[in-house]
Amino acid sequence: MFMDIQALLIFWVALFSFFVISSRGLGVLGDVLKPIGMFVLEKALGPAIDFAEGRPGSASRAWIIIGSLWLFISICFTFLGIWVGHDQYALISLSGWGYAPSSSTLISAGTVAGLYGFIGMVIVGSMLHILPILCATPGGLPSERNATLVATPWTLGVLVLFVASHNSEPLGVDITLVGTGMIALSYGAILLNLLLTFSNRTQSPREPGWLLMFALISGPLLVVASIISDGTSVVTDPWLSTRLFGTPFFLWSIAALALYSSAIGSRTPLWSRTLSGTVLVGLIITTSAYKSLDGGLFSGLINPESTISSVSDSTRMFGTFLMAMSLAPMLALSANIVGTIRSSGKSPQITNGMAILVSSSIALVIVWLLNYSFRSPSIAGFQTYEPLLRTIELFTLWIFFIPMTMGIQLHLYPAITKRSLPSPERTRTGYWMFLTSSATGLICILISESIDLSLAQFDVEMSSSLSERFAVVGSVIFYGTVLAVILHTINIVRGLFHGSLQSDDVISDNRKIETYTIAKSTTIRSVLSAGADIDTLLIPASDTEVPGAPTEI
Amino acid sequence: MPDPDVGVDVFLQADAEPKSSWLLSVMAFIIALLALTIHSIVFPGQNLPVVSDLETFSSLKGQIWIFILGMLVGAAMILSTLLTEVTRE
Repeated sequence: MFMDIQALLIFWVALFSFFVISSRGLGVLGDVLKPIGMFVLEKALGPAIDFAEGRPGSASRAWIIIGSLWLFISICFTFLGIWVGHDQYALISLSGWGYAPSSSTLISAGTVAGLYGFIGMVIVGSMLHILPILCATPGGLPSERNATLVATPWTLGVLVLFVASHNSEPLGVDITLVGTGMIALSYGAILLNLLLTFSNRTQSPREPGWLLMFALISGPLLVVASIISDGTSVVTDPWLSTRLFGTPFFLWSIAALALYSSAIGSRTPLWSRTLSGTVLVGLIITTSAYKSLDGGLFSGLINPESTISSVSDSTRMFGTFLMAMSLAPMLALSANIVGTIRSSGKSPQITNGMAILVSSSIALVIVWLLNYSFRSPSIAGFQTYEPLLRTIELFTLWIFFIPMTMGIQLHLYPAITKRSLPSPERTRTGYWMFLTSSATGLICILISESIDLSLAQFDVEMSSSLSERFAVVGSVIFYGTVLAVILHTINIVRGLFHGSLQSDDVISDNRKIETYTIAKSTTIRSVLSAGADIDTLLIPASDTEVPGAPTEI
Repeated sequence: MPDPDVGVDVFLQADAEPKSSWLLSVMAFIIALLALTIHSIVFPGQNLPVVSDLETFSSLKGQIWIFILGMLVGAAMILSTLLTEVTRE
């Protein structure tokens, strides 16, 4: 479950070295490497580069739109997997076409599409948009065309992994490595593009920017650390994907993007600088513990038959300590997002993703507690709750990772596409449906599996009708998530064509405001960062003439 | 001693509708539905008064194709939106 201590130490040293080098620069070596990097981005793909347009923002737009389509595929297969879990012959009629998937196969396929398709692509699309802003890089991305083009191999890679989750050897050859390699190719290009963006910065990228850069570079660093420490073989073990696209890429990126979105979306400075620092440092220190938080998504996903090698007692103890410590950055992240959005003095807006960011932040703490409670016996060597872990993984994915990514996507959508979402009502309906149906449906399924587990522990050889009924109810309620995702996806796609055009000053991250309501004592910095200028009218919250309003003392 | 009736006509008459007030109504509706559902689960043999003729979710077992049909309609909507918008003149 945990990385070896030696590998972890190497990783931390490498990450610190990256921080020092990127802060101080590479001097003459950097001047040599930059042109080489640009040459690779623009010329290495040959004539294919001409297929992509180089308009500013086109890359991030392509990534987040394709990601939305993967989300729809993901929810459909996850729902089918949940249903087949209690009705194994539901899809028996498809066996005539040679398609007879099991519940775990369908859920794995849905998870691949959700993780690498939706979350991965939205993270990359958001990074391509945000990092040039945070770094104030002149000219934006060094190669917009390359960033657009490499969305294609990434998508194909996800498609190959999607097929591999059904059958990893459809042609007698293991295609898992092919899919991982295609995604790694795109990842390398994006990494190079963003490193060049970072090196051309004219200002410090602030805390979310540093966390994003660490998330990007951590994958390759983890690969190097693993090679040095245990010399794992590339071919025999799907370790590349677990290292390259593991916890740092997904969790750190989402944390950074959520902090950015909550501050910019609510037009309020981040609630606490200390909590921001706790998130950054805490995530780095406890990085290996999140094999627990992510539900083992990244380790057992690509090759379901793969097992995590056994670890020594000292590593187990060290890992348990890190797991307990991992609550600190989780609470810090959750509190900082909620506190920031609450500080704006307004109700969180659903249409720009603020409400879904708040609910996902609260869900993060619940997910951590669920994972910690149900996985602790496994760490101690007991298999008590092993049958429930699949549902815990679904909880992690569908009430934290995916809704948080949807919130980030909703917030960044107008800035990236230069258009607003066409239907605020559809967004609102989708939000409520997603929130209620995913949480309630999965709770019912967890209750059902808990009943089955209890009966199994008492060696009762009978099936409970109560458990079966909860499973059916859970599946039916979870279908609301499918409908919510359909609404979300249609809204995103239609917005490209029917969303009202946004002027630059409206979608700018430094938008100006005409009035600013002061509800309590506040600093001038807070007022200015909300977009106020010298012409902005400051209105005290108590300055009201509504009859019956309470009198401020 | 202040007159206890002063302000009755001011404070007891709501003259505004908060934007989020409908939330409670929706939650009440959802909780009512859940209560009905849980009743049918916990007391499987006992019918609910008045609404006992309504089918419970369990009758949907084996009906996955209804849901798959919904997904196909959703997929068709997304695909048709993409195609029609891209090819629109």
